[in-house]
Amino acid sequence: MKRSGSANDPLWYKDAIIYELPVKAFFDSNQDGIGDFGGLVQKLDYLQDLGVTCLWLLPFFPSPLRDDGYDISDYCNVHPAYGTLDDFRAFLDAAHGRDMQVMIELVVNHTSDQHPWFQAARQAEPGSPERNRYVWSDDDHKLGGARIIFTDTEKSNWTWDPVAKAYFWHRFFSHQPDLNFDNPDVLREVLDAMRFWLDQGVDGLRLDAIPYLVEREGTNCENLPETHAIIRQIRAALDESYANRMILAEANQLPVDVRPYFGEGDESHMAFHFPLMPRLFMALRLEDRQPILDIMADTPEIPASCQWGLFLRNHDELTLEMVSDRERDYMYLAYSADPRMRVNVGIRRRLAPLLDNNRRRIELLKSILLSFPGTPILYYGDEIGMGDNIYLGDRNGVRTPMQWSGDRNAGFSRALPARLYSPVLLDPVYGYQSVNVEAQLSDSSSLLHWTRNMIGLRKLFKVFGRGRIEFLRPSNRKILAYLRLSDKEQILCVANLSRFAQPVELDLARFEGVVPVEMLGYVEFPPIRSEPYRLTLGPYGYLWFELHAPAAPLRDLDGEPGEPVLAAGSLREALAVPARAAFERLLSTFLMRQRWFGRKSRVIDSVSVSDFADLPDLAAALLLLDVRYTEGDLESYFVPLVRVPTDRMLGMRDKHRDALLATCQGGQGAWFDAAVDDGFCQWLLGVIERGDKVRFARGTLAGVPGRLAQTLRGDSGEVLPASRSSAEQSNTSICYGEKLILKLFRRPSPGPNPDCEMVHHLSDECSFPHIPRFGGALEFVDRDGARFTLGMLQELVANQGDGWTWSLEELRLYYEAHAVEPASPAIIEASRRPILPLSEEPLPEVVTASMGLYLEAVATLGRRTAEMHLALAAQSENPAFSPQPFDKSDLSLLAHQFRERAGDALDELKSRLAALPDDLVELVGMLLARRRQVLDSFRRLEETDVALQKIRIHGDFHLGQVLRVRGDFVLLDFEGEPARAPEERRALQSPLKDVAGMLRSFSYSASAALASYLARRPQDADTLEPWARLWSKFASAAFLASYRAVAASAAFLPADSNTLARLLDAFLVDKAFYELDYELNHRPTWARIPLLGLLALVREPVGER
Amino acid sequence: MHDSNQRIATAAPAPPTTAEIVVGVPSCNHAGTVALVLRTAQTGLGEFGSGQSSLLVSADTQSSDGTREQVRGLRAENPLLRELGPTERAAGAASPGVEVRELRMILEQALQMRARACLVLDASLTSMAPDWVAQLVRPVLDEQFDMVVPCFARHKLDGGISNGIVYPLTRALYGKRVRQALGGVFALSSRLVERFLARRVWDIEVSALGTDARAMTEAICGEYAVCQVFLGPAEHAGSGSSLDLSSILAGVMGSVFDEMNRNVAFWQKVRGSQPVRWFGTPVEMGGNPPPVDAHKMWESFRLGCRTLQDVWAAVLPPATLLALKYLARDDAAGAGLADDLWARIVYDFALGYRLAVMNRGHLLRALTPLYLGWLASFVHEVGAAPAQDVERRVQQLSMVYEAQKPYLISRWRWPDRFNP
Repeated sequence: MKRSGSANDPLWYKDAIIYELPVKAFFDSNQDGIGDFGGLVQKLDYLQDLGVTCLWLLPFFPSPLRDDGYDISDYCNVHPAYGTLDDFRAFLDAAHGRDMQVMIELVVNHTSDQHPWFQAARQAEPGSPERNRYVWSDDDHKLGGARIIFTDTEKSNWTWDPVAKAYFWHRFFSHQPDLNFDNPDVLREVLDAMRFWLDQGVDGLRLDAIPYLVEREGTNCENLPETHAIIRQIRAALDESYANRMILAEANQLPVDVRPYFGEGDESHMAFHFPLMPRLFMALRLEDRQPILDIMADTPEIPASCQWGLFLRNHDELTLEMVSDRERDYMYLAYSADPRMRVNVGIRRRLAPLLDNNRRRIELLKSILLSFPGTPILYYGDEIGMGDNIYLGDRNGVRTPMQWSGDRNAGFSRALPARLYSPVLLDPVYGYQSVNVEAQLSDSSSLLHWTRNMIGLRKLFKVFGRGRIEFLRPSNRKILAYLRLSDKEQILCVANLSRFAQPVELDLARFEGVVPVEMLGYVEFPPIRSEPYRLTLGPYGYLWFELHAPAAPLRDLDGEPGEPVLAAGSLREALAVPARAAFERLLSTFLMRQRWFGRKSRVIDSVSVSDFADLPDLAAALLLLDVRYTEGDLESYFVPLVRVPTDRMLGMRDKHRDALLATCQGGQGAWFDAAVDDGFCQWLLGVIERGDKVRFARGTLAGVPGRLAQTLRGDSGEVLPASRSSAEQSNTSICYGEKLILKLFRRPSPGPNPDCEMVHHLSDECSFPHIPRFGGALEFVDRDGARFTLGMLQELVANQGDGWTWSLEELRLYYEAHAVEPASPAIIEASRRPILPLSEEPLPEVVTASMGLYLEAVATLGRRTAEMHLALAAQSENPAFSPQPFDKSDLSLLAHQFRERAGDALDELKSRLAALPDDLVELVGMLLARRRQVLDSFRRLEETDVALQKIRIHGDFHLGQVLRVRGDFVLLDFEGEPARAPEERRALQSPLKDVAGMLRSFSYSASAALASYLARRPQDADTLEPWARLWSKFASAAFLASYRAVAASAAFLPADSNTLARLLDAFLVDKAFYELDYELNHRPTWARIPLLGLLALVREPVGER
Repeated sequence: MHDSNQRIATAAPAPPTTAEIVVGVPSCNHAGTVALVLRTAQTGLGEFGSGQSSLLVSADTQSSDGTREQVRGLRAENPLLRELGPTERAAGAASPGVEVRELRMILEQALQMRARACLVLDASLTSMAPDWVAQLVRPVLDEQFDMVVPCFARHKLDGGISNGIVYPLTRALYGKRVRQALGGVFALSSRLVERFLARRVWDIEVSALGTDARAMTEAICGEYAVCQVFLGPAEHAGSGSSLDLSSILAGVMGSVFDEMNRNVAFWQKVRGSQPVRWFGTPVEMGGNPPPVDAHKMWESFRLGCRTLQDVWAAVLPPATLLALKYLARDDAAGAGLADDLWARIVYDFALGYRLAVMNRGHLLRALTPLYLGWLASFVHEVGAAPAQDVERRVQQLSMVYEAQKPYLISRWRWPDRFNP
């Protein structure tokens, strides 16, 4: 029979709150200055009251204590300073009596050099069993692929032993020889030690330094298959004789490398998530959630019985081994101003000092720790905000005595202060007289009470330990928002990483009707609607919500007063002559309530149903409407409707009030926009996937499945739950699970839809991977043969936001960093240089230092853009995509077009001069004064002779049209510039139009972010303007360099720089006029940006040297 | 398990190894009534029907009043009556009380006998009728319920603690409308018996009055099917003589609050409440109800307001204290404690108990004057009303408890003293 641990549930560790403590530091019961088991027992009530459920004891075994007990000299005993084996058993009983589990250390990679095994080994003959318990060599060059971990103290992993007359292997200190797991005796001894402690009743074992058990030449000696084989044997021995126990692996590796330590549920039950911890700190300092999202995206699934161990701080340094060099440099600058704070590859500080003792920051990080997927591990003293002592050696500064009270020795011991194993903290901020348990217990607003309450709250909801996580991606990257989901519980967590209050709009449309209840105060918030859910969070604020199903409505089943009522029950009745007029009037008012109806400022003269399909089996109908405005023009709209029976009507009306067309007379339910009906959405998906045809009165709708339709939805055949995205304005987007998105084009126009056509081509014909792949389309053909695209099905790409928002955030950080740093003459000089020559030179160091990561990303974007153009330049049987020559005549035509558009724009500006805001007048005047120069600039195009290619292009390419996807980009929205005619958007053009679009976008984002920054701190204008120019120039240069490198031999790209410069200049100026027109008509306060851009372009062409 | 420590008195015929029904009586120190209860149960089992095999068990750990002799005397009449106990306590294990140990013996016996139903009776229940056995066991055997609890007939103003606190509170907490949650008598299905033993439900400390509260909350929180049976009046030997109101209130509320603390993760997610199925028909109470002196109760409340301010202030927020202060100015309970005020007071005491803001016994005793104030108000309002109206009023109060539950949850989760 297996011997059970103290917990009832075999998965107890998933719900645990683990508290890490060194026995020596906790409480001294015998006044010898060292904490002991007797003292620990006395403090168990405190730990129980705090709410922790599992105690992790740092090594308490006999040891010379040269590495705080991780140098063990006897595996099966207790260090006399801490008590006896009986004392340990008494402690274990007392902890179990309080329903607390106990985890101890199993340090098996190495022993102390004082361990009898090592002493015997060094005396024994080479090759003898005793000698072979450790790893020996005659020279110190073997296993050279293994890195040195304790870089501050060790120069080699080999140390000469004069007694053995050989080198012994050690991955840590030279007094900690590694055990030789190639010797079966070693594993047997280790298992005996494990069984000894499991027989005492311990519930968990932390396997220390687990990646290094086995060594092999030619490898880095980490994570070797042989090591995993050893761990599996340890686990098998545990499972064979014991139940409800747990193994926690310490493997300081990237998540993907830690994943094998779970095996298939046959290695460790738990493993630490090391790389998350520094990224939490990084995200907080950067006020940007991205580092967290990146590492979580890189975190693989683990077996169902396994669990991550999460922590903010522990007994070691804040390890920076698993971050990039640049991230490490940042962390050192951000969190260890004093070099004494650094040790090995990390920062030896406690939580509170790392966060400048800011209570809100501490709470924020703890709230994330307690709500992320995994088991939280608290380090002793962090519940009261204890500080550290960086003047103590090694990592001893974070291992000082627990501060119980303001009494002598912090209430930790009655010994003479000089006898204490470590001095207590005495400084005025973190010293024991300010920070101690007794004081915080008596203060109900203390960090201790806060921590206790939060632990209590976490323990109420198993979903925190066992549920899955889904991140939301609001545009404000200072907000970290995520859902914790299980079959029984749904929780929304929102955290503000910024030191200032932040607004956020969350797309929670899938929870429409659900009532969020703030969990700390049990406060009901307004129910979630289909539109974005708005919240405001205070500085470093965090909110946890339980998502409750709405209470059943108690109203009667009839419509509410004032709601439209339709006399007809069926669609055919509604369209019959007597009822039709009333029905079309209802449609008219219905349209005006829809977000996707973009002509609300205009007056509808009439709405008529131009064609329809009745779908009685679905109780649905598809309508095509002709909407005529009072000005006489006509537009088509696509409106699917569904009739919802009375029993579902009330719930639907509560959730989708604007989608209600009318209730039906006589209790026959109500007509709604069918896009809000899950059943209809599933049917629509089926139409595309099956390639069904739906007959209208006068035309036919056909589903057109894409080549990858089946791949995108997956093979499982599962129903992908439909939800409405709140992001779209002019279209309606329906998401299917996390895999597909269907865009319904509400205002279809005849002919191929450029977006659908491009995505289809790039995805199915070119297999271009950096777009949301094509899943299919809904094509309507009217009786005259005219085609309309009513919908496009695409891959739903998980992303980290669009490029525009990302750039603004990067720019905000950039401006904040440089606001106090006036640009040097070198920077001013660099910022004034034209783009093209800059793109042909190496980046100056000052630029890489301040924009490095952004430039790397922009280079990737340039590469993807070139790859897209290369794909579009491939020969195609589809004439719409077949490249054509682009020569002098095309340039002449372009020059003519550009000159005409620029002339019109300048005329328009002149005519509106009196009505423009004062701050624009001067700029407009300057531009008008350069009219001749502007128009003449296009003349250079006509003087150029080229033999290039024109191809299909994106057409409206800017940062808002790309998504950040795990360090890369996905390009989307191929509709072209909305203000251009459809045929122009589908025309073959020079891809330099796209390049120019993106270059303008870099300049635009730099100006927009600067304007936003200066609105708060106008005094920084002079300092930051050169920095803004620098950003714009070098982002453009990096993009261009990368683009040209990839497209170097393409027939669409001019080989010589002069031609390239002329073309780019012309496209840039044309684009800037397009922007100016747009801004003057939609956002006049933004017109300053394209105006400044135009003036700069006229002054400094991109290619001028 | 404790089987190895359990001494079973042997009887002459070969003891049965299985039984469909096990009826157990925790008997310790009930020499005056145990024979009556066992005989009635035996009769009840006899009347139950020929097809059911059964076993009657007396569990007695440490009687010193002759109970054991009484039981042995009965075994002459019924050789299948089994006597369990006493036990040796396992070294190092927590020491549960007598009631718990005896209950656990009965459950282990039921498990060992593979009983489909296990009925636990109260050894002091002198009013028990033989047909109660069938009424309590049938829903388990025939309707697949897991726990059956009684609803004893009462005079309309009897059961003030149940009406004013236990029923509304447990209903609001656990979402089940179990009218008399703490009846001291219950029947269990085999799967619930197994759960109780497997989860070591009785290893966790439970008070003398807390076994039925523990059983009830375990069943509801484990989402087992619970139902209620209308029975006649419950009369207990020695009731009302040995314990004063404060002790009874403290005992009952202590057990209810203990269960609250244990099951917090369950009840904090329960919203609203659902009816629980009834069996049988309500039994009319004969005779006149005992007189109730509302004025005396109100005076006790006023006295408490004058003398217990400091104690209450450790538990109740200032707005509540102020409301009580103004109420206590009235000579009579005319205005009375509003339902929402009363519900919040009970919730605040539950929180004070959880946080152990003072000695828990003292805290619970400090509730007595407040309870008397509520009871005086209740009697003042419905004393002259028919029984149905009194019941309706209790249901109304229960709805207020449910409506005030967010107050409890918010204070429980964030027990800041700085509140309104």
